[in-house]
Amino acid sequence: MRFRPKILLAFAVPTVVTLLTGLFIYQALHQSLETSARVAHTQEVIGKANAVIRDAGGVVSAVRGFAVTGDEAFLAPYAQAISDSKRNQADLRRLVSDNPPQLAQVDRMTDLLDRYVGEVTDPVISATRDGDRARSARLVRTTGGPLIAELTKAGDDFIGAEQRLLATRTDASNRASRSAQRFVLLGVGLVVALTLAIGLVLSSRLSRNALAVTGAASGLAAGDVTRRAEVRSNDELGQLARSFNEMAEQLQASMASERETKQALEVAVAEYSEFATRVARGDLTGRVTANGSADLQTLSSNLNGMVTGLSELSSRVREGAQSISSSTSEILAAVSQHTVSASQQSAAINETSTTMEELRTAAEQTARRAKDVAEQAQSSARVSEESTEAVDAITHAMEETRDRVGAMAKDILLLSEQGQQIGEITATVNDLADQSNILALNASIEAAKAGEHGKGFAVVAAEVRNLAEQSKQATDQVRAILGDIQKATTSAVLATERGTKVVEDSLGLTHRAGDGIRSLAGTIQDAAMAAQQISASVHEQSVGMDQITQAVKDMSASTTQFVAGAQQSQEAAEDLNNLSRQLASLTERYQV
Amino acid sequence: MAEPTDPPDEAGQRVLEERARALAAALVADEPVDTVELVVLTVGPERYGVDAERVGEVRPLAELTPVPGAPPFWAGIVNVRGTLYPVLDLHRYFDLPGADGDDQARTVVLVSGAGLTVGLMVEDAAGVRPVPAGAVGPPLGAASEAVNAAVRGVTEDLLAILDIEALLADQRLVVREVPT
Repeated sequence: MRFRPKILLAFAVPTVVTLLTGLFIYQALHQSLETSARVAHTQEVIGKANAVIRDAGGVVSAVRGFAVTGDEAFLAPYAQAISDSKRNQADLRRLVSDNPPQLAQVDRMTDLLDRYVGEVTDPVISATRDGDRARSARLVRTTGGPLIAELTKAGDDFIGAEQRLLATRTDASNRASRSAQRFVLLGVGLVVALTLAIGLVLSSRLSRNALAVTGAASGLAAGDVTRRAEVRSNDELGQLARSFNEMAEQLQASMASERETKQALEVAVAEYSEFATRVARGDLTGRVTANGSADLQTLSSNLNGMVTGLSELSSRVREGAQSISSSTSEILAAVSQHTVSASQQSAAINETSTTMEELRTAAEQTARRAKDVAEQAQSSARVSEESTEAVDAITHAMEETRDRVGAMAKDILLLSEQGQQIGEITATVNDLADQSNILALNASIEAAKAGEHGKGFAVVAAEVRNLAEQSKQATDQVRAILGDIQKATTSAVLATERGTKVVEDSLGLTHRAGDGIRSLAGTIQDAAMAAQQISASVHEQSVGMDQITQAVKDMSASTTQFVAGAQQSQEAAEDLNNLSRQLASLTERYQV
Repeated sequence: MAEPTDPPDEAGQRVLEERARALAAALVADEPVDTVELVVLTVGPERYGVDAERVGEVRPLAELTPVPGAPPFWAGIVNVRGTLYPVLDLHRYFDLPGADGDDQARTVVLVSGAGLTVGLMVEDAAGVRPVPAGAVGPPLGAASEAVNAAVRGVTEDLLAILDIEALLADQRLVVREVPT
């Protein structure tokens, strides 16, 4: 068991015992208090019962006094006693209300007192007032005596029973107090004993185990690896002791193996030292034997590999020095050739540079031409825009013409209608002329009838007839003219209709022309844009040519540098040749 | 055309003076002649003159009401200001050519005679003209008996003068209702 549960248990046991003890003590004290309360209650009941009996005695003595003396002064104490008795009886009934037999006894006592009042005191008071002393005395003696005796007995019985109950209850109260006392003593004793026992056991065991581990650790610190900690416990200390023991074991084992390794290492180092001395002398033929641990074996095989590699390296270096020598000769030859070809390249570059200059001039000319083309295209675009506007204006004018012609046709129709109206009016005039004619005829007939006297009137009538005739002729002329106008308006209407048709056709043609010009304008716009793009690209071309010229110049410069570099290479190759000779002489030292 | 404002030459002046003289002489010559005023009526191809004294009124033909059962030359009756007059179709009555063709008669001439007032239906009333009394010759022979009975004479320019008294007194005009 570990420390935490152990300690918790050590505290828990006394706590539980204390709790239980406390509970018992509380129970006992509660019981004792309850019994004490009952004792007090019983004593109160006894007191009240005594008071009731005393009041009864007071009533009896007051009545006797009145009966003997006839003095009204005795009636005041009598009334006082009666009212006291009633109050005490009520108190007593309240106190014993939980006990029916006692209640019955109290009722009996009340009843007896009431009877006494009814049968004795009231007749005695009236008899005495009447002056019949003998009857009063008889009533008091014969009737009152037995009643009082009975009442007294009932009171005594009640008090006696209550006294017995008091004794029983007092006894129970004492017992409860004593048992509470016992519980207190017992509980405290038990708690103290348990606490002490648990403390002793726990501390002694912990101390002993700790001492064992401390002793073992001190031994190990002093160098004694054979010491062990003897702890059988399962707690943290026990684990610590076991871990400590394992550690000591391992320490012992590792010290032993270390000693062995050290000895083997010393032997191997001596051997390797000898081998290294031989290699330093230039003898690459020797090898070390592989002995001892895996590391040592790896080391010796690596050393052997190193010496083998060294001997191979030496041979290769010798061969390499020879091949470097031959290579440098080749390099020297190549460098001479490069120098010659670089000179040729330089000449070619100069030619290229000239050609580029010519190309650049041509590109500039192209750029100028392209710019001209672009400008022309733009002016064409402007012209086409103006044409589009003109076509729009024409279309507008055409539409207006169409509207005007329509209005004209309407006017002509109106004219025709008005002509018809004129015709109607003319017919009316013609009719009027006819009537005038007939009137004039009648007038001339009347004039003829009048004979000589009617001559002047006949002339007037003839004139009127003449006028009517002229009116008729005029209307005929008007009719003829109207007919001509009718024909003319009809042809005018036809002409305006034709005109409208022609204007509509023209409008359609104009729209088509406008569309054509617009599409032409788009094409010209595209052409202008293309020309501008050509101009731009030619300009870019020119820039590119400049760059190429610059690049050719750079190439020329780098060719010059290259020639210089080739000379340097030649020198470097000669240096390399010298170096390879030195290397060859160095590798001569090693025996392979 | 000559300018109206040209100063009149002597020849022109002479012509004008001659015309003025001729006109003055004509007026003087007319003065003493006894004349008959004739109202000229056109009926089909013929022209007739009626004494103006006999003519009451000339009216345009309107609202002619046909009379059933009457002879065809009685065209009908007209209402003139509340009075009914029978209308005689002269064209038919005189049985002139084209009488059954298009009825061109558009005028009614009210004439009185023999105690009657009758409307004569004619094509036209051309006017009133004076005819010298001595210039009337005997009537020409005509195909129709009715015409022969009614024409009193012919003027120099072949205008047949109708005798209204005789025309209206003709028994052929009378319509007798025979009970059947």
